[in-house]
Amino acid sequence: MTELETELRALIVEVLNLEDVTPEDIDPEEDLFSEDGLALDSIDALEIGVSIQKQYGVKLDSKDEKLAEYFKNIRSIARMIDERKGK
Amino acid sequence: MTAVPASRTGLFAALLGAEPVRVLCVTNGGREITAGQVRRAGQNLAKRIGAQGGTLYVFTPGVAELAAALLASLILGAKPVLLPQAGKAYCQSISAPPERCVGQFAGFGHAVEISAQPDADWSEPPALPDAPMLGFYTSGSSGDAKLLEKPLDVLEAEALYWTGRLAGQFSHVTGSVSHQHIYGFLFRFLLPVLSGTRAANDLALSWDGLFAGAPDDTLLVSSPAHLTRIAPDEVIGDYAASVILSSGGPLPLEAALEVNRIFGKPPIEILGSTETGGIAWRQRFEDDPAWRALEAVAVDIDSEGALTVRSPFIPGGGPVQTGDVAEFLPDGRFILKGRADLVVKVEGKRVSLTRVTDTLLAHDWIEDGLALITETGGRERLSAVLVPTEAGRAQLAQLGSFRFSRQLAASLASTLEPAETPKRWRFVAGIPVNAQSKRSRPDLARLFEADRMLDLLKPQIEANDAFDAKLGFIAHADLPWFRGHFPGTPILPGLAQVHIAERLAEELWAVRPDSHNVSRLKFNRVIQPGETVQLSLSFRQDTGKLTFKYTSADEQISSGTIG
Repeated sequence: MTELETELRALIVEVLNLEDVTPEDIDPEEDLFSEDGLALDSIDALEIGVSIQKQYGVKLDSKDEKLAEYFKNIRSIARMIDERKGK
Repeated sequence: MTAVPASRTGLFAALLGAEPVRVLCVTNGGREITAGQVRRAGQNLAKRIGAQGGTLYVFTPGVAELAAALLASLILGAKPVLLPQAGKAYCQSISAPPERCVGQFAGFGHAVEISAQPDADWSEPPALPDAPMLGFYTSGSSGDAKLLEKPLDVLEAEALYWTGRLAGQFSHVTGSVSHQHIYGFLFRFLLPVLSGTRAANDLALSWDGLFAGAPDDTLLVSSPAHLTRIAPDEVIGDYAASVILSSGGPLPLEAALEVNRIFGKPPIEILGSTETGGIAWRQRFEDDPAWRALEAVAVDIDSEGALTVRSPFIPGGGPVQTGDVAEFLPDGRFILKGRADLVVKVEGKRVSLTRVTDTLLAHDWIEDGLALITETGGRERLSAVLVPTEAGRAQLAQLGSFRFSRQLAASLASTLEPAETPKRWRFVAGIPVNAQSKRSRPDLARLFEADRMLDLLKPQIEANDAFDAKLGFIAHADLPWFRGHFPGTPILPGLAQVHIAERLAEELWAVRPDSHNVSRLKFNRVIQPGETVQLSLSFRQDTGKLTFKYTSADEQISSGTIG
């Protein structure tokens, strides 16, 4: 569990106003959007995308075919941010 | 709200006790049907059906056949349900098996034959039932057939109310509405049987058919569909009606005035529904849209402006929210202002809170509750306060409220659009009501502002089944209860420990102890700031009792049972 992942968990709980759940409850590999995972919806995805762009200055292209893959779980978002910031 | 006296002679007592030669109704062709003949028909029908118990689906051409079918249901101990139509596809759609259908069906079911024999030949009439029920199918808001069951005595109370109110004004009942719906059932069937009045057996749509053989003091049970299609004066000129009723939908003012011109009196319009029975009435001689509540009925307007009804004609008395926006006049009458469909804007999209609520309530996990708008982080959020069913509680305990809410939302995704899916959820043991015993959305929104015990204590949940849990938390010095107890030596008071246990049980499982009584209470010692505490909770659904035990390093702090 990296520092970035820990930050991201807290960020998601905060920006989505998730109630009844603490950042620690979310496993970094837990699916964010599938029904057996957090079951977030498309409005939530938009919100996460915007706040990640704000917070980390990374660019997200809505035409990027890999976008869904990046947003699979906390770990994949963190990896994507690391890669883009490294560039 | 004045009480309507319960009938000492209900429908079945009247049908079984009537003189065999009493004429209950007259067919279109002028044939008189007696109480004895109806009893015989019911007896024969019961023999042919044979199987006891269960449900009988009834659709009959006339009220005599209806009476016989209800008698058969009494003899067989079956529950009668009236159908609005008798098509094969309709019966399949409501899972009514052909062998349980009684009346006039196309090629299936048991036909009712009114026999010429003067009376039933039983040695002893069937016993009167304790609390007979009658089912009606109505079309719900989504257009799907919806079964609504009413105790027969509630329907009888309504028929008797009108019997008393219209006493002496009519000696014959005829009508253009079906007796398969509640309005026709009440006025074309129940009211004549209970008041000892002859009735037309068949519904008639043509004015000639309606008034064939009818005396001048006839009660005409009509509807807007009929009264907006009045025959020309040369046809109708010979007919008279002493009372004309209209219900089932709004009647245009012109039609009311036209009826007044022709019959010398406007129709008595009745506002009501299958669920509520009659609510209010009006009789318009001029443009005056106001309704007056029936004497036995109490109407009110809730915080959303919608008409609510408490009435002896509602099973249990109500209140029932009608979904109509209403406004009171100074004289106590009210005006309808259209449907209260509670449409709000969420994420720029129009969302019907009624629709979201109905969808949530249709879920197996949800027993009660409603959708509402709450505010958080400066934004309005679609939210839901819900009481889970037993199955829902088990899931809630297993998943925790966050994942439970997410699964609930996911399983409704095929019905609700994203904007229609609640973002904030509260699962509670019961929907709180305000001082007027009403559900108020503004009050319920405050539920979302209160601190939740789980957020305050942030416990480690070591085990949580339905309904046993073990939690560990640190009694941080900044907990609100340490303030003021006592200066210099803060402790977590016993009352707060009881309160915490009760609140956690509701947040974890949406249950509440039956009462606030605490028994078997033991306080061994106080809890001090910074201490790590274990809490065991156990709730018994059958007794409604919550048992709690606080320990610290295996040393007992306190225990007790609430409820």
